[in-house]
Amino acid sequence: MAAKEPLGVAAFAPSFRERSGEPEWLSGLRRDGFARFSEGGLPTNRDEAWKYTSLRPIARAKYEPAPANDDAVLGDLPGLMLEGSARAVFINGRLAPALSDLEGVTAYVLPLADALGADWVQALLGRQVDDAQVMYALNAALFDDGLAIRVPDGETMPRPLEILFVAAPGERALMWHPRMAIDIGENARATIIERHIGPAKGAYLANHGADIRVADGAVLTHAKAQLEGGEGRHLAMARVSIGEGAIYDNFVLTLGAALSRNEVATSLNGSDSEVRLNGAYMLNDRQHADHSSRIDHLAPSTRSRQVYSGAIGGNARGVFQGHIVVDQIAQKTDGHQLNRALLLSDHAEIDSKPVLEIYADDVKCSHGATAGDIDDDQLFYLRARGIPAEQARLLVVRGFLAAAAEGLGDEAVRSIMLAELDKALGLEGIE
Amino acid sequence: MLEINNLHVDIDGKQIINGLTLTVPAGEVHAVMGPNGSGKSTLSYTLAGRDGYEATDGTATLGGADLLGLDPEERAALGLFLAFQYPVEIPGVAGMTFVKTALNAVRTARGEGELSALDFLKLVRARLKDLGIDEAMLKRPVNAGFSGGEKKRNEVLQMALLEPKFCILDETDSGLDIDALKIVADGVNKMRGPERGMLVITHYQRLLDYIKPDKVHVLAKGRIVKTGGPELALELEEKGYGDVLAGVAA
Ligand SMILES: Nc1ncnc2c1ncn2[C@@H]1O[C@H](COP(=O)(O)OP(=O)(O)OP(=O)(O)O)[C@@H](O)[C@H]1O
Ligand SMILES: [Mg+2]
Repeated sequence: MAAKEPLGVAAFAPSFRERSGEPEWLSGLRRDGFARFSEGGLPTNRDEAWKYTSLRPIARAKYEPAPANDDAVLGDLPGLMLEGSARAVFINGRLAPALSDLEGVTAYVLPLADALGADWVQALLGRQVDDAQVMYALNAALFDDGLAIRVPDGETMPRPLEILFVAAPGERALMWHPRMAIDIGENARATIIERHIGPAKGAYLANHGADIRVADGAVLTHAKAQLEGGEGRHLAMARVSIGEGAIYDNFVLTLGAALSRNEVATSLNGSDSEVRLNGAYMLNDRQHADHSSRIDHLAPSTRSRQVYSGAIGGNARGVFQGHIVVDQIAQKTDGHQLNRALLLSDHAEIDSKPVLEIYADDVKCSHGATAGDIDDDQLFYLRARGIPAEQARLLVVRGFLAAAAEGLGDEAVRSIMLAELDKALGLEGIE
Repeated sequence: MLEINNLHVDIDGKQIINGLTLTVPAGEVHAVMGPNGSGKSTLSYTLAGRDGYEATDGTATLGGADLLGLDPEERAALGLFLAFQYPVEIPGVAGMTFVKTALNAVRTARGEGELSALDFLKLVRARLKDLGIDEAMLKRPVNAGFSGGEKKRNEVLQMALLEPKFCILDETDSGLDIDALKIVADGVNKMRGPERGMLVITHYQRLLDYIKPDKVHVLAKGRIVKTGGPELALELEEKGYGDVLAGVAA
């Protein structure tokens, strides 16, 4: 009997092509990525890291690479999330310079294609890919566009950067695989806000990859609002290395897409470094959202904080996988992980898989997972003050989700993320 | 104003309130005292409409309107306010958002229309000042991480903002320091008026030095077993519940 072909290879293989004019290291990276993908295909539920999230629909969807000069039909772009930000706009995975405003940050933010000659870009993109990171390998093989963001040592990016990804799919199912390379130099600072939007109708696959370095003493605030369209599928993986005394402060708000996975893999490479991975999500109908994280504590006195909170209704399903590894030398590690889910209907589901692997003896690590109904005491308290039941429920859900944003250090960024949440809840302008 | 007649209440099939009759006319303040577990909070939750507190017999009306068939928010709209013995924490919802939403909901239900942002802020600041509360408290999530006393002050702040017709204060004095007790009592006294009734549940005579009640009731085993003037509280403070309970059938 012939061996069965790995999942999705037939669907994605035609999209792979050799590209002329790229540096040799990149051609090699693309070939490796494609070879890795071809060998195993899309991950299936047999892969431990993809146990709860099936990519079968993606194999069946027949996505075509989005055309370069698309005549995508665009409505008006939304205003900035954070006042004063610079903005890079991507349409169907490609940078649209005419729609972007990079004034004041052009020295920091380049189209990825213009930065491929830089050593730091090669160093970041060329890092080893784990076996489970198949979609990342596929992204390497197929990316057409992206950004190279670099803040030199000691500098602060003069304006926060919003990256707005607009999906404008047409009749056919389209896909794109944008790639970001982000290097925050020693003691440098930057704020990056991603917003992903799409129309209610129209199928597409956005498969994002980001390589991030936060050097010694640096702080990167990286927040993301995932508001993809109802037929969109969104896969995103960020790999982050964090230097001594540095902070990577990540928050994700997941509201959109039929299927999504937000994966963050971080290594705390320098002592006294800190990672915060927090997220809030609200799912309905048949939405499926997977939040997966991996944190490697590789140096002493490192700290990690994770709170993911979700409200799941309809037939939706949430997945949380949090994997913490504490290396033998990472004494005095302080790691805390919490996953909380509100199940708002009888058919809602949450799958939660925490994994702690600890090889050092002097560490403080904890994890917890809760799943349950809306808090009756809170509901009664609000109603007893005259707030009608339906609005009281929304407020309780709001509170439950917003609490996950408390770990996000930047108050302005936190409030724009919560404003998006409030919009989705119909509580616009409540704060 | 508040009329409770032969009220019986079950929780999980267990009878907690057991033929309770009590009337508080408009303009009066009545105190309710009674041993731990006698049913004081059960009474207040039942009046406020908490799920699971099932009135199996009897009636409770406010200004002639039947309370027991109403949702909690409808009771609040009628003008009933309960200051909780254990105020609930709501992380993720700012205090300011909470009081604004509550005030607007109650005003809308009363047909008064929502307050403008500016008028609301003026009103809140005035009440905060009356009660000696720092505005920062309202920027924090509702009751989250508040000290016991801060929670109680927050209850009285809400009461002052919502201007209910009838107030039930369930051990609002517990947890307050001596100065806070005075401030809170002043706040409550300011709200006394010919149109408004109050039921003040407390264990301590001390509170009643500040908030002078028209009547004092003793609640035991789910019923009012004795009613008297302010002197009854003094008597209880001195002698305990022993004498009063001695004559009560189990
Ligand atoms: N959910 C419940 N299930 C079963 N019994 C309950 C429940 N809630 C209250 N009770 C019981 O009802 C009785 C009355 O309680 P309640 O809280 O009303 O007392 P209280 O008079 O307010 O006491 P305290 O002075 O301590 O505040 C107690 O015996 C209590 O254990
Ligand atoms: Mg009580």
